[in-house]
Amino acid sequence: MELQIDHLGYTYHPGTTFERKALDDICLTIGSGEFIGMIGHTGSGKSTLVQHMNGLIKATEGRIFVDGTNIYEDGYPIRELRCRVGLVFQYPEYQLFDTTVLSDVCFGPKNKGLSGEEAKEKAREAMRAVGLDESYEMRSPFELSGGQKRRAAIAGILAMDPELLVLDEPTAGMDPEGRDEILHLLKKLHEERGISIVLVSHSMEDVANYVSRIVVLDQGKVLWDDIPSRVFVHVEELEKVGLAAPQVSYVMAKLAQTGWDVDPSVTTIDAAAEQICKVWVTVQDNLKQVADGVWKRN
Amino acid sequence: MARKKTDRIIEGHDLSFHYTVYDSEGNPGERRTALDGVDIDVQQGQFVAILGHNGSGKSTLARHLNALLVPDGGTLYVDGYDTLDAGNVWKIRQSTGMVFQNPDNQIIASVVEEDVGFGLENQGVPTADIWKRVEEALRAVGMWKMRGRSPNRLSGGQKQRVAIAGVIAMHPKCIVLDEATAMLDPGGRKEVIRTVRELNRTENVTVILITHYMEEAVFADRVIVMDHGKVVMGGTPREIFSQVEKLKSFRLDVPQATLLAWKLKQRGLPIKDTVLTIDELIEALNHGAAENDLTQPVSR
Repeated sequence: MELQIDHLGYTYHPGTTFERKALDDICLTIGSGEFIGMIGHTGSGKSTLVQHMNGLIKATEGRIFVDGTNIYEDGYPIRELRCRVGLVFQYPEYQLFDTTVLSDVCFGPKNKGLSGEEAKEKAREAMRAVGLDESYEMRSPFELSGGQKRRAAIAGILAMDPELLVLDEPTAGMDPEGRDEILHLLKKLHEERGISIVLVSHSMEDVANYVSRIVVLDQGKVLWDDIPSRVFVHVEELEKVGLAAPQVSYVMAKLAQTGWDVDPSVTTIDAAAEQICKVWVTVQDNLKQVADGVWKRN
Repeated sequence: MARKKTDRIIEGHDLSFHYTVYDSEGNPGERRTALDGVDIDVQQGQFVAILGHNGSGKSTLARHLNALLVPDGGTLYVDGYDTLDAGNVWKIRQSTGMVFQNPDNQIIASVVEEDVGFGLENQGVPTADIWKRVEEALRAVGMWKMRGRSPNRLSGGQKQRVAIAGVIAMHPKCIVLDEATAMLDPGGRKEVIRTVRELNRTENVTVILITHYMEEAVFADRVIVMDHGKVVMGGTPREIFSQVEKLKSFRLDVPQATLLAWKLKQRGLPIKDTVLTIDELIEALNHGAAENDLTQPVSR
């Protein structure tokens, strides 16, 4: 599916003293099969924006088109949209409620109108996708570890077969390996099932490692919308709006400043290691040739 | 109870703690071990980072440090007071303050300065002193200008700094931050870390920082790694982060700069020591380059 956000604006409590413009003239197209990262400081409007994507919040200005149809038109099947766009909130494990993992994951597909057996089939498939095998089906979701709970909650959304999965800080509060597990899972869903993903995150490193496009929000506006290497070169501007670049970006920028012939727009560790080694080897070779020359002359 | 004379703010020996799991009828069931023979010693004024995966026991240990929990086994002295003695609880809470993960769960007043003064009011500190200490505390975290604001209009980093000010106003000897940066954006994380480092340096406040962000732990004097309720590693950040593979086995990581340096070293670049920060990596690389420079005599 293609989701097109067209000059969207949202004002909280319009007409009162608490009036606050949270989103301002947002234009954004999320194409089929994309993996997009969304970053921005606390209060920049990320969470408000993602809640528009499945129609949970209705914009006060502008429109949203899904595959060319305006979702604010009368008669638009908004319930269907909420299945097609799966929204995973912050700390989704707080929303687990049922007595067993399987019945919890079944909640979405059942609501969608599937029969009990069909819902179970979908739920099992979703649990497998997040790495929870049959042995977890009858367990209480509350006795799972933090990372497992979060994956169970994500399974609950996946069971509705979304075409676009939007996750609001899915790795907040997780240990490094738990973080990697969730991110690998998203990568797998993206690659194997072709699900489009919007990943909202405060971790610049995670965003740099996984997404192919970054949207930067600041005070309700889109500041940048570009590939990671072109976003993270704006180190100073990013810091001004409460963000940062991955540590690797700083390393490469500083090396370039001190005379190394490296590309400062590199954003991942492996790419950086590759570049630094290449420069190193070239310099070594040159030195060797010069030294050989000196040797021969002597 | 009498205070034990010691220069160690935290002195724990062979600590153990178990949670009891209750079934849906409220009957006690299985007991789960959260702390298992933990020894911990912290000198007044030290900056200690505690790392460990989710469920490793870090937060349980943190909650022992101001007697929110008391050990099932072993002994724990905080500022010389035995936490097992219920009569010591208020003295312990005054000497060790906690800052928790969620900025929205620890602010109670509707004005910043009133929130910071809340703990002092509860202690019956005279009003004039309260205002003085609130001012000191808010200045220390750089939030004095915002004293009249409503906390719900602050950013996450600012809220956490207000929470820290609320702790500092109590003049604690030790601050425990239990994943206090987990919900913040990069700018907010930096604000909080800068604030506690400053307090540690200038006021000699002991800092216990629990975090999942490895790059925050490089500033500590000492790093403790926990796994399954046990302390499994301890040392300076350099000693700890030099063991990339061992850390990975505990579901942890190293800062990106450290990992990049480690990968470069594995590929044969002459990086001698464990690198902790971006600047150290740049220096190591430029130093390595200089050693191979043409201006130096080439050894054959």
